[in-house]
Amino acid sequence: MTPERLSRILAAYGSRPDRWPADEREGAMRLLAQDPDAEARTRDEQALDALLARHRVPAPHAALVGRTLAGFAPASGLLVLRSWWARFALAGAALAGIAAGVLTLDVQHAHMANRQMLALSEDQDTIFATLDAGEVTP
Amino acid sequence: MTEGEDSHDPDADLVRRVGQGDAAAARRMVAAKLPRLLALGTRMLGDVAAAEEIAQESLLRSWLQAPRWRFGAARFDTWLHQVALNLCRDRLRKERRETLTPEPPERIDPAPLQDQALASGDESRRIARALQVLPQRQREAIVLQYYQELSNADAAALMEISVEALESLLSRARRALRELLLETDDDA
Repeated sequence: MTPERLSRILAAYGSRPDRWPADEREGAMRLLAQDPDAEARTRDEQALDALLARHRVPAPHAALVGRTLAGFAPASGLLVLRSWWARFALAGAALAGIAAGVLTLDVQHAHMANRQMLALSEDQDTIFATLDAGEVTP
Repeated sequence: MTEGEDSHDPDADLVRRVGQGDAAAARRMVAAKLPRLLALGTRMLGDVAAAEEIAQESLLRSWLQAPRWRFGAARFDTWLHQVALNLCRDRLRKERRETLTPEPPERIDPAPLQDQALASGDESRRIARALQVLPQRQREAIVLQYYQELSNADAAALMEISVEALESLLSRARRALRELLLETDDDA
């Protein structure tokens, strides 16, 4: 540790050794105890530190705390899933959903098949109608 | 994940419980972090309402992050500071765009602050005003290192600069604050 480096530490980090770089703290404190100039410099920095510490910021008010915690609400739903019966119920619901989906697909498939048949019938009707019309056209 | 990986992060257990959906842990997290984030935002922006929005948004993001938090990669408090600091930077950038004013100059004119100080007579407001007069990077350095009490390595990492560059910003910030606050007192 040199007097120049100690001076730079004081200028950057102020008077409190706990704010100084950890790996240089011991050497800086040792030098400080021996150097009257550095001691005077420390007192200057103490005055600035003391003044800066007087800056007050507001504490969070209840409404802000409430709004912030309200955002946590969806995540708190995860608590429910930690019980075995809730997991069982969820799994059952999922299986029921899958079964319902399969059933719906079957119904849709059958419905589509019917519609195709109907469409064919309609086409055939149209063709027949056209043929019929052609037949009647002179 | 092992005990050792978490041992350097004092928030590890809290984050794990928040990630599991523990509402009591969320309340503890808010009690521990909201004042710190509000202080960071207030000193960075000089606007309590804007700081409240940023503090709230930072914690809302932490609710989403906690379940997938990678323990051992970084300290949670440092990550939270990064989120809040980025939100502050976004807001300051937006304000500059809207007012079409350039980045404040490095050279600081103390005259407006003296007028403000004489008018208000309030020490805390004088300091708040002095912080706002600082160039943004100097303000970030002094807020992170002095007020938020982050280590020099963490503060430098958040600012994406070396520790040496951080020291330079801190020295300039403290010199400017001394000129603005203490030398004004001496003159008065």
